[in-house]
Amino acid sequence: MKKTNLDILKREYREIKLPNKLEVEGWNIVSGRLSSRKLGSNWSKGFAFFSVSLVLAFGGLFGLYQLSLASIPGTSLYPVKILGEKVIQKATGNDQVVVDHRAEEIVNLAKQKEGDTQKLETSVIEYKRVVTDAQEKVSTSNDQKQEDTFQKSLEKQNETFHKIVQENPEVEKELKDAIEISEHSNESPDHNESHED
Amino acid sequence: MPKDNQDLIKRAKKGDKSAFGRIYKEFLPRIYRFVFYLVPDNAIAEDITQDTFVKAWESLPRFSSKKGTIQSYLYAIARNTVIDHQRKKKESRLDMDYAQQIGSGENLENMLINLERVSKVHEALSSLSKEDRDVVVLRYFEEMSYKEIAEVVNQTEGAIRVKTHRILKTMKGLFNKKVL
Repeated sequence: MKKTNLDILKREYREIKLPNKLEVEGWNIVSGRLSSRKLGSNWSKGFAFFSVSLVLAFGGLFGLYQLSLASIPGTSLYPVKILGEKVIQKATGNDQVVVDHRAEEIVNLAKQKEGDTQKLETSVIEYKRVVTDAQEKVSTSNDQKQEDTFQKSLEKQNETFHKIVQENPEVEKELKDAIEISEHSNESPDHNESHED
Repeated sequence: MPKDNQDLIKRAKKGDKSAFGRIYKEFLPRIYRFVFYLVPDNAIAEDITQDTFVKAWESLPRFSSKKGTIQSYLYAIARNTVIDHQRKKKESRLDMDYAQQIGSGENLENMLINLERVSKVHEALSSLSKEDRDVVVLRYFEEMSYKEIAEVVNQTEGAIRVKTHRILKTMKGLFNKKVL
């Protein structure tokens, strides 16, 4: 076979020119027709999965924590509540949430008609401890705003305790220490001086 | 396959249109001339060429370089798109009336020259079957490997080797008689 014949044909074939229109506008036309890929890559699929998992995990934890707020010592969700408190304590740097929660627990236990006296006593002891700790922290913080907030919350708690005792005198003995600590903490040095006067 | 192309393919598969644009620019002239050789009509060849790239983009996530090259992938799509077009239009004849194809606008001179060139190729290969002509074009004009041709025409590499050997024998007799 004469190789030159094929070479001539090849040259003719390869000389076929691209039309100007296709060369100049071709890509613009084609690119307009290309659809977008939907989360094509494994990376983006993985990222989407990770994000959804993260949201669900945080959502789940938050929901669990919200449920645990009504728990009292000895119940299954109580450790969740304590864990949540510790996180908030670390994040805010004050013990307000812990004091509030212990006070709420005393109220909840005292309101139970056939309440567990031992649990109530334990809660009051715990309340005294956290109030003392918080009072110490607040007084050394030199943050007047924080101190005022703390005192106001104690006043409210004190009022609530008195109200409960009025409604249910049977718990007066158990709540005595809680009432005392919330009252004494309310007495600022200025108040003490004026009493002495 | 060059490493550059592999990177472009990887990016295009993930949806990077600019990467696909570079593949388009690299292969456009070759895909067009192959399509124009199969369908010697300027407007139809342009449309089929563009459709080829759109189809390639759509099916690119399923493309695997382990199964073939991007070149054979594009040529196979182009060839199948032409076959679909011919089936629809019932245009099985490749030796068309070229004169009827003139008149689709710009660059008339270039188009006429293109038609003249492709008619020479068709005339020279007219005694071969359609599939044999495709094999000649892919093997000798596009310089593809047997493996790549096998991927384009959807046959085994061995079958393409045998076919090429047989076509060469036929052409040897053909060119001895004809003067180009």
